[in-house]
Amino acid sequence: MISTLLDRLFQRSNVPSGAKVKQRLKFILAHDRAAIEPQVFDNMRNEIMRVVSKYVELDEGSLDIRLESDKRMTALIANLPIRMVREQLPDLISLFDEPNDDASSGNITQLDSSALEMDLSAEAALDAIAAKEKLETIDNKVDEASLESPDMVAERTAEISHKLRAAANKPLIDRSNDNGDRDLVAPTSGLLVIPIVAQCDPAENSPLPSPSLLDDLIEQDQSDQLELSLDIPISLESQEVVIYQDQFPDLDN
Amino acid sequence: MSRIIVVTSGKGGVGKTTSSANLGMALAKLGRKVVLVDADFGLRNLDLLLGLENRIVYTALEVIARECKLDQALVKDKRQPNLSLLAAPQTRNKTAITAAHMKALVEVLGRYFDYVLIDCPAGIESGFQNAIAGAKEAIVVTTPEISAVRDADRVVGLLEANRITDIKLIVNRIRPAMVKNNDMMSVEDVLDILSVKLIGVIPDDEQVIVSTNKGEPLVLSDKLSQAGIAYENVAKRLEGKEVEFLQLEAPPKGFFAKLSSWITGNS
Repeated sequence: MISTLLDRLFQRSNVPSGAKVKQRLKFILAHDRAAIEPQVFDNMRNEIMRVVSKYVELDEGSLDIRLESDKRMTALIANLPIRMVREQLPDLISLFDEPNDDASSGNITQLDSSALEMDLSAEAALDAIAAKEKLETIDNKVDEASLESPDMVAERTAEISHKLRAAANKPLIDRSNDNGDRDLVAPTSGLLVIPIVAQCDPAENSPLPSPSLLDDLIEQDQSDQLELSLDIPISLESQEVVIYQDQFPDLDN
Repeated sequence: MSRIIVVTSGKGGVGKTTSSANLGMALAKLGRKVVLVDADFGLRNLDLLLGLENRIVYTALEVIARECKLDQALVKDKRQPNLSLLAAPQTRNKTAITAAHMKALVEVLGRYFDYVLIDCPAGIESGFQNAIAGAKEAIVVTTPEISAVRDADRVVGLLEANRITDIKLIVNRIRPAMVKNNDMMSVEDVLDILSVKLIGVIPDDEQVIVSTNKGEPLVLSDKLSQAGIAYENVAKRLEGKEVEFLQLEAPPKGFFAKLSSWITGNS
């Protein structure tokens, strides 16, 4: 009582707990209702950031992505302050892809045409081999029927199927090499791509020099806010996800 | 057409059993034939609140095991003959009673009574699943505390998932002085968060403990306390009557109370 009297005399205000508890409850219920694992939520958050970062540079310090719930409806609220809008250069876009993604999509667009040619020619060659061996099998079958013993037939078909399998596997192996370790296949393009990926990993590395320079030129008050709102219905009747895009027509582009 | 209503909350100790006992008694006083079913197997308490603990011979377990007739297990309240109790077994055999048993039981009871009120155990495990199995409606009891509201929200979700969509809310143990001081969530706050139809606001009332001590529900006393009036109002609303919610206000203070509250900051 004495301490509260002192608090009052010296205007040490204590915030009423009612407002705080409501806020805490709303937050916890939003997560309860959505039933999203923290790890999954983090993944979603990172992925959202990655996608948005393709088009605009975000102020990563003041990002705010959370779940909120109202009237038994849970919404994903994302407040993403924008530093600047990126020019949509293909290499800039690819920079902010995850390394894996870059490997699959960036590879096709970025690896030089020689790799593509290699693939095409390999396919053509394999087609030719397959066609040839098919012919052979047919020929053999004709011969077999009249001339060869069943043992020979078995041996031959085994050999052919082995060859065919090897031929079929070859392009797959090549392609996987293409995708995984680019430097093994196309050294010129590989050298070009890998350092960029390393440089632009948004999670670990400092921002690119050019955007940060531009940053300095752009005043803070110019930073826009991008707000996403996804409503997640909880009730069994409606399970679809509603995205209010009409509020953000710019996103459609 | 009888109404089968489960009284539930998720969290323990928020007033499910007190609410069941008082609502059952209030409805019986309104002339309805009511049976209270204690679904808290192993931890029965409804008999104590009704003061019927000495009259229990058979329980729901014996009925399900066909060791007695349903009629034998129903304890009729002598003060209010419209009210009967089907007690829960105090010794609990987990596998003995299933949701299907409970569903069949309350459906049979529904043929003979206007209201079947099921007092649900705390938690959301098998006891809860059994208790809600045959229910068509639910009354969720909560208090304006963070843990109780959170659990109530979970329970509302589970009820909806079990196709019980007629859900009503009792906000129990409101302390008007604390709400006024913004140190307790108001009924509006709780409703805003839970978005369930409100059917009752029960003030925190010392008489609840007194009535439990005596084994006499609040609504039976001659001079009704605030909580007793509030429970009677809930019963009337269940009957479809429009009843204003009680205007709960902190009791007026004397000079010393005012001085002391100024000092402690609870103006």
